[in-house]
Amino acid sequence: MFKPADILIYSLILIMAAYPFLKKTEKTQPLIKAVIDNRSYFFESSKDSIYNFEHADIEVRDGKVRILNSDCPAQICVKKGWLQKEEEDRIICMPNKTIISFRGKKNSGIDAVTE
Amino acid sequence: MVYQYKSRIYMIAVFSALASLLQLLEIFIILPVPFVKIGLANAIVLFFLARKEYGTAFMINIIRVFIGGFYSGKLFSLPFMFSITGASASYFIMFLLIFIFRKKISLIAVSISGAVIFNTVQYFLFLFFFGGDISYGKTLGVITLLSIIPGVLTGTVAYYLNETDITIKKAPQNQRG
Repeated sequence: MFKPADILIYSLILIMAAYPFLKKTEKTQPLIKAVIDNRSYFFESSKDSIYNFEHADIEVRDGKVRILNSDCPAQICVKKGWLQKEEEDRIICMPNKTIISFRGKKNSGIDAVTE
Repeated sequence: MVYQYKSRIYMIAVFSALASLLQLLEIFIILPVPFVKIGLANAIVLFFLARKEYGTAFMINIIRVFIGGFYSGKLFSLPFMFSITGASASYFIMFLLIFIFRKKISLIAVSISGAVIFNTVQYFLFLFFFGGDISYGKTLGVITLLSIIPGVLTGTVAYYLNETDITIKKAPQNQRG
């Protein structure tokens, strides 16, 4: 019932099972994802900077993000203000085809919230 | 007991029927752990692998998945595709292990590795179809741990099946009847 090659198999399977639990999970900084005209850009939220694009400027400060100025007519995205990680919201500018959101944990357990 | 066959196709038919019957009956066996099924049909596949009937074992493994698809009413649907991919992958691993180590490996170890591969492959397929980042996460660790239980159970059944003195051999060609 027990034969020499079994040790190899059992140890392999134990390593397979234990590896994800023992592995140190690096705390990744939340990334900011900006989709502008079907192209994705990623910024680190820990680095304060202003990114200039063709139709809009995106400002990142203190782990928050906003659209500084934009050439769209209604200026909804600018009026939206700062976006924080906890809000799980996004800044959308329809005329410039821009969506800004945080990338990280997707599943919060809640599908949608109405206010 | 000596089981003689003239053509493998009858043997495949009989044992596929037996395997799919076991697959149906094990619905009634409730394990205390959730999401775990025993997979007794794999015991028959293991038995044939141990008797060096590799082709027969593969055919039984595939046909029982098809019959399982028939009576669950999900033939050619996505769960069926998961099932058949997992079954093929686990057969491949079990065949390799038995082919490489021959007498040096016990059927329980082969069964456990087959079960682990079966579930791992299906997990990755699920991620592939329904999205999600494909990485080696904690879910896979839990899946591996849970696979050990049915692996041990099926392996034990296969071990006792293999201990019985049933020999399978080809009947001589020139006889009639």
